[in-house]
Amino acid sequence: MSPEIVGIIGLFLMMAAMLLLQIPVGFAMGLTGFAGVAWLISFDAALALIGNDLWTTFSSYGLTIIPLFIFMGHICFHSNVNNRLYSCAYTWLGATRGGLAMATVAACAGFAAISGSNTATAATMTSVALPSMRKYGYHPTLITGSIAAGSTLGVVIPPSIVLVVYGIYTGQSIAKLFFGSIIPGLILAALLILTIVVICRRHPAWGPPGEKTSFKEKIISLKGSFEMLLLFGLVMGGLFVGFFTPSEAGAVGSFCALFLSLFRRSLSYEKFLAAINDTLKISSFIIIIIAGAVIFGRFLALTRLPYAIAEWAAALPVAPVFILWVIILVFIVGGAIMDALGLLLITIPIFYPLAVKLNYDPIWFGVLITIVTTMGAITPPVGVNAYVVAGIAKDIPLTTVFKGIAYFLPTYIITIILLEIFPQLILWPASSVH
Amino acid sequence: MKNNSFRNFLIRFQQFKLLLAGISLLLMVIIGFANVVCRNLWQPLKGSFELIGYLGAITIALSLGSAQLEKKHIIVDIITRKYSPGWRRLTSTIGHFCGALFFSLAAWQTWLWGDTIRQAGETSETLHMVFYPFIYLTAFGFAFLALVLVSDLGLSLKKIPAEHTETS
Repeated sequence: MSPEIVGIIGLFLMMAAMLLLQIPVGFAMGLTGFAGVAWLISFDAALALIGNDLWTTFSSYGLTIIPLFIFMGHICFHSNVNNRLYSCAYTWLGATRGGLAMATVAACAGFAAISGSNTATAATMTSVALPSMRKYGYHPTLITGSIAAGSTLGVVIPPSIVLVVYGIYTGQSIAKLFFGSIIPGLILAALLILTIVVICRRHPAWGPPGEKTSFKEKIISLKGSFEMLLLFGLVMGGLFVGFFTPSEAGAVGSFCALFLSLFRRSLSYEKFLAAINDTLKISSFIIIIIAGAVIFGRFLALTRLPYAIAEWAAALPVAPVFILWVIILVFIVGGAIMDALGLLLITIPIFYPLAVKLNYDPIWFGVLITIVTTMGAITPPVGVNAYVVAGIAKDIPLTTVFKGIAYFLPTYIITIILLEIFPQLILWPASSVH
Repeated sequence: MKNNSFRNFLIRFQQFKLLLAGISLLLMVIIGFANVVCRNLWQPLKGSFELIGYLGAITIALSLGSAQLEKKHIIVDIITRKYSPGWRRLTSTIGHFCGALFFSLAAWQTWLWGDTIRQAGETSETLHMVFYPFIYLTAFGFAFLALVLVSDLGLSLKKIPAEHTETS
């Protein structure tokens, strides 16, 4: 049996373990990688591989960026930065038709600039924005659609954990990935807001205007965005000028977030412990997936399957853009049935060499597929953000949430097309990093 | 009953481990921040990168059981959610058994790796400190995760459902 065939069998076995036996994604990748190496080389080689690889992965300095950035986001989350951001966005946008939904997306974008998780954003923005939108008689479709779609910005706008994992796994610069994703994130946020404008033009009753605020109130409200601007400026500015490494950026961001929340007295001891607890749990399951992916990646490399696929696809008599859209389609379908991070780590060993072979820039490709996979967080049947929103807004049925989301899905496709036509939107900011 | 007390022991022990992991996380933050300040004002803190790496290893290793205890690991349940209760119990039993086996092997092999490093007298590159205790702690983290999976296996066999949560 050729190594490539073993690789294909390994891929099917892993999918079967995940889909049919409820084995967590990280465990399934590790198990399949282990079994595959044992089959291809020897059982002893597979044993030695897990001992060495797991320690190397766990003690990697580069991976410490994950708990550090998650900690920064959770300190901000537990010290109610979102509430202050929402209040600021509400003061500026609330008086226009659909303004509260726009404020929700703007606050999501702001929170995304200091947090890399979309479920945390979805949970907190539902609690914060839902009561106000209900108070002003917003339609449930617009309420839930705007919250669920807005919260996906958490993964697109830096610092993003998905981008960090992509960078670590492919050896690409995390700072370049962060800078490359700023403009796409802003485009996506702007298009989401534009979608709200269009929805409210078609259904004016869905988003009635809120109370008007004076210019003075607007200026005063800006202090609600102070922490976000300071932390984002500090982290991204430091990375831009090469003042610190990405892991140190996480440490500096966490330290400053902690300092600011203590200074504001917005973080009680219980919330501080909750921030640590959440950070540890989320980091541990992310790093288990990465460790599993490392073992699985070693197995795939031994089979040479990724290179064989890359060679085969590159030789096809079709334009590279066609193959790219096939990859995008796989990510859209895959994202609809499983978590973005897991999907990314399963598919990167296959698709990354292929993208490189097709001469796509690795930074551009990373940002593009991050946007594609994040769509999965709001598309049925998995759509984790939709479940989070429906779980909190208990009287709104899940079908209404998905209906609301459907209005926002074209914005992702438009963003992807724009990034394909104008790759410089990603590459120019990325190349300016020192 | 026995499984319940074993489970309770695991939960209590995990809380203690989380406390240590939390301290390790805070140390990472402090060392990382201090290194940036010292490097730009004076000179870098010697060995801060390797210390942060080792602390990162034990932070994660000591947290490993908590995600499993709270069923936070990412699973794809698009098919399994349609299983009958009996079939679901069977598949989760197989899944927990495979997981327990894998992490037992991981603990054993990581421990052996620690032994190799200890016996070779290997020290870290910059600080020249022994680092095998960190490897042993990581092995211990895997062993604890394997124990949690054994406990889950016991629950599956006793027909007590264990629901997973999908998170990102």
